[in-house]
Amino acid sequence: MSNRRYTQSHEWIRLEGNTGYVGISDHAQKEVTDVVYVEMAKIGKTLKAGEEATTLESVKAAFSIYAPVSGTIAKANNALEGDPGLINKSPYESGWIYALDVADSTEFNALMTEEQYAEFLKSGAAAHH
Amino acid sequence: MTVSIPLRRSPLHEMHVRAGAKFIDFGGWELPVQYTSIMDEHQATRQAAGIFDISHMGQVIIEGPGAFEFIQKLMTGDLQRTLDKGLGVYGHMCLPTGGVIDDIFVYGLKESKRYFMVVNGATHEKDIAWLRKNVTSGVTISDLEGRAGFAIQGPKALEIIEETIAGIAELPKFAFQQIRGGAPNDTFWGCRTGYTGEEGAEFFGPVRTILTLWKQLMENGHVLGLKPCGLGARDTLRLEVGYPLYGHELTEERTSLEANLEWAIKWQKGDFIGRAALENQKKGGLKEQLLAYELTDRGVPRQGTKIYKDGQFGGLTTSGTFSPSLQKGIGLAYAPLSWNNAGTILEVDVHNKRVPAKVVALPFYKKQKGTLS
Repeated sequence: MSNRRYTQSHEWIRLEGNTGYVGISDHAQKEVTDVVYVEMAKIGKTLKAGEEATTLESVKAAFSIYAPVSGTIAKANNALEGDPGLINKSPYESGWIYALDVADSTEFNALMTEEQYAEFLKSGAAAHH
Repeated sequence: MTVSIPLRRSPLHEMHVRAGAKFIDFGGWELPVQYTSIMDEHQATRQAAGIFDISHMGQVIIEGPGAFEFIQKLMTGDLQRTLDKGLGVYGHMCLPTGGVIDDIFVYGLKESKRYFMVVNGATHEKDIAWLRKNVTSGVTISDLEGRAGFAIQGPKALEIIEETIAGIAELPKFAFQQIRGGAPNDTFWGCRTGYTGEEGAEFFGPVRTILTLWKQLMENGHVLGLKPCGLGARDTLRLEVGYPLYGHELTEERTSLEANLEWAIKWQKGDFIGRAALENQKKGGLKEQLLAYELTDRGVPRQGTKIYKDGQFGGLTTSGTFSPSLQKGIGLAYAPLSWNNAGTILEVDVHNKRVPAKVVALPFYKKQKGTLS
């Protein structure tokens, strides 16, 4: 079982110390398909959980990427500028989108575990967000 | 209370489900948007071949002694071409205002005075109502039911067709044949037309015939790279070559001239509904016209994206996407006529940021010339 937690809007977050790495789930990358641009998240921007951190564009449409928890953006994955398809090829590893300094780790613990997220997808509640 | 209208499904729906397709609502039809990915399917069609379900398109037979004059009166294209040269004719059905009711293809059989008309799915019922409203004596209109259709497109398409179906691959572009076969006592139409800028053909016929042909083509074609493709790739492919999509570039509020499709109006053919309005508009000069632009920086325009020049608002994008072949954002938009010169610098509003763009001549994508290898 991974130590990732998930949002209902299909972001995942993984903690390394106080730093939370954020990306989109495998389910989400399949829905989004063929990512062509990722706007680099602005370092130093402070967000509340649920606020838009950045956007990505696929052939199909533009999608907002929200902050799973409150915090301050610490890093953006610059590799996505040259190869945005990393999000499709490796959504959980090299396709991470940005990292943030997590303000309150209890917010992290309140997110869905991988099992809960799998249930959420099966329930059909995930079809629209 | 919400009223939900059930989506219509293609008769090939079950086959698409088994192939792992994802579906979207397209003008009241539930159709595959993609099977694997839009990008993969786009590249397959540009480099090998793609097969597309187009069963949502309406298939209409118009026949009788008055059929020729009837259709001539209703479209901007010249039906004489189908009789003289055996080619399908593209044109617009217009309102008296010159606004476009639909864009259509008509294929005619000289001897039998029978004409086969293919119309858009989303406008099918409206088109039939328009045809019936204008019908004259000696004309029978049959809106065919229980039909299906597909397009097979790409540099390998003709080779795959040739292996599978007789009498089509050797036809010139825009030519067509009515063919007996597929299933006992069935006939189907094979037309050297398409919507991708690639070689290929479109087939229309009874459901079981079309299913048989699709399966046979897939069986013979998959080694050459033939892939089933959804509406996602169909849209990026048609936009790269600048083909209009009804409901986007073509509407009842815009004329063929404004859509920059004067080539689809055959002025020498005589009268047709909308002609007087179009002549007046041509004489008076256009205020606005559809232009094509590509972004010179990162970003993807979409339908509704606003375009500007020197800070002045010009109009809205009717279709926009990321071009998989050019690897940049491209769009079509209505704007002041004077803006429509290749090289004109624009700004495009993408997520509230002004991204630089320039006006280009269509098509966005030109087929690479073959190399000897």
